[in-house]
Amino acid sequence: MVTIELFGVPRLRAGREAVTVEAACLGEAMAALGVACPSLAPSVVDGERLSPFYLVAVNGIHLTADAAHPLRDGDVVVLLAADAGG
Amino acid sequence: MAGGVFGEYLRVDLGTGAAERVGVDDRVARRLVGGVGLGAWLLLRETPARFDPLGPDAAVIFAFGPLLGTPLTTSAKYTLVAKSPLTDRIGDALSSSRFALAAKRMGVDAMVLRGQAARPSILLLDEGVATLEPAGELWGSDLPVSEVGRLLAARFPGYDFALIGAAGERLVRYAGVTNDGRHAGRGGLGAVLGAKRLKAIGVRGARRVPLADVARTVALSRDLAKRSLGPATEKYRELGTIGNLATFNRLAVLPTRNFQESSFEGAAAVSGEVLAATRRRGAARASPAPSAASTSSRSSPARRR
Repeated sequence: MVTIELFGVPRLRAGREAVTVEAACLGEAMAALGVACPSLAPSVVDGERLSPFYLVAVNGIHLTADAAHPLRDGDVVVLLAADAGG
Repeated sequence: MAGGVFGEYLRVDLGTGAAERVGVDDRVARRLVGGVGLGAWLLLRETPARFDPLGPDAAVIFAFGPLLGTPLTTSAKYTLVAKSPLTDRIGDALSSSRFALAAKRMGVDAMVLRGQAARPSILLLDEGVATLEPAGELWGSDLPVSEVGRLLAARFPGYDFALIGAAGERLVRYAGVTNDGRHAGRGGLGAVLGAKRLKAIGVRGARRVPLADVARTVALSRDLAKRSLGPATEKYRELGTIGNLATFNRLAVLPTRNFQESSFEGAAAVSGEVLAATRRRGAARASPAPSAASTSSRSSPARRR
């Protein structure tokens, strides 16, 4: 299982802090996230595709939006807004 | 002269109340990046070495970048630069809104405040012409800065103000400067104004900022305005800048205890997500008309002991 943690607007919109899904790659995880949280589609996830305004941190190491990025059981995917500042 | 700048700054001597316009060579201006660059350059130019940040040799600079005063969205911002009494290094703090616009529209790229007023004062700058007014009862009261702002607006109509609160007057080394409900918070620069006995600066200006290419600037401004309301900035509209806090904490990149640590154990309680929920609950419970008691308790002047 892969855990997807939500912050900011996605968390408000989904009403959840985290979602657990079965996925072998990031694209599959995003598609599962869209199914589990329909309010995130299509502004955050659109099928297997991540919106260009978001990316993920996998286990706090890899920052990516690559749908082919492999995931393993126990991975933690943190969904991030792609920009920061203020 | 390049677009976006006037090629002059205003130097104000708070001891005499005199103001003069000083030219900035275009070659110098082109080497500097934005208001922060101009402010840092002016601070070095206008102060001696090793000065006391709360002494009379200190200078406070309100600097304006080349985008301020143009139609570009979110460009109405000023940079406050001074030697920080907190760090003893160059400090810069940013704030925005009408004060920044009115100040630059006096036809200057910066205001440099030097010296020290003889008594607690309000500096008025009308198209660059300076007047020092006594701060009177506004100095030493514990009125909220919002109330001080309202009193200043009533007393000096037509001016936009930046001001300090009780912390700045008391030289608290992390005191900020406020304008229009916004705050230049970093580095304790409010204490530098307090040391100059300056409660507030009021500005009034109506000059147009020169543009190198008006049509191109307007086109870029329209495009940026449209995109600024898109999904890339949604979190700032929904949560504000604090919307980054929980995410940064999760990734252990949240500056904590003056950068000694990178995550904060209490972050969840003050995260943007939690505050948004708190605001929603508060708005739902709010009475449409505040009680007379709560209104008067907020606005009653209170002298310091």
